[in-house]
Amino acid sequence: MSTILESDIQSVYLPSFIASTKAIFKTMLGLEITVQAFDKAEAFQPGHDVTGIIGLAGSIEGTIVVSLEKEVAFAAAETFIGERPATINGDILDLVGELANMIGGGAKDRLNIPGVILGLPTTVSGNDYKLSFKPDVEIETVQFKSPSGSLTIQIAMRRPV
Amino acid sequence: MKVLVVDDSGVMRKVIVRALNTVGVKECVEASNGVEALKIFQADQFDLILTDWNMPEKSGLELVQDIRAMGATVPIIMVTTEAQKGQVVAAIQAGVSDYLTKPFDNDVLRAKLDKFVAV
Repeated sequence: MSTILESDIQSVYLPSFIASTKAIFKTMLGLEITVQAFDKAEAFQPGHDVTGIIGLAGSIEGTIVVSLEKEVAFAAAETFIGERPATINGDILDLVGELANMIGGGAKDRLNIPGVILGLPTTVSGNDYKLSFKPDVEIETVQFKSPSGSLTIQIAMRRPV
Repeated sequence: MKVLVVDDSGVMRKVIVRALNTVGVKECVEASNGVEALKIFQADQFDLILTDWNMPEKSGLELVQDIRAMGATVPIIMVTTEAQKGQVVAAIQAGVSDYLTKPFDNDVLRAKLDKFVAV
């Protein structure tokens, strides 16, 4: 078992995911974001309008959930692709999936754990849903604030056996 | 100059095509995975390929391996979140010409493209 799997989600995983999220929003979207709050929740109810979900497999197992208020997603699209959609359309869902992919990839790189495989992203439009995880998963939620509104990332990592 | 842009994200393809346009490339063909890209590549001539790594059906790495197995020497830039040393080495061993890690800003992308684009 690797040392990192025995470490606490807050001290090991969270800093890499927070740094990755901030870097992606700044570099690719020109948005400065700040951490507003942390939460340990058994189930994820983001309350945001559009969500990207991506899995980590291999030497560590987990799920990353990235959820944005629609105004944040629209601002991101305007910077990223030069078009500001009026509604949550295919481009917005695609963008949020790509954000989840980049946040996961950036965190994976920062964690520097060999043998981690990133899955393909899934996206959700709307906020009337609840994500549930298995009992052996430790969950941490981070709420960020941007000039356009709020966004949340949730990291659900499988505990070491 | 004709460029093949391969990414399962349509938004990412838009970003790359837009950057290509800014360095003078007007002829871009898009594919959403490695299988589609290989079919397009076999039916046409390209001067440059930009490909993502993680895609459904056939990954970017498999695409590079297939293209090199055909004996093609077209420059290929891997544009991906996969930045760990072992993965970069694997991509280089497969035959990529250059590597661009997401997130990137447009200046970095344009600098990479300038190396390969002669309009």
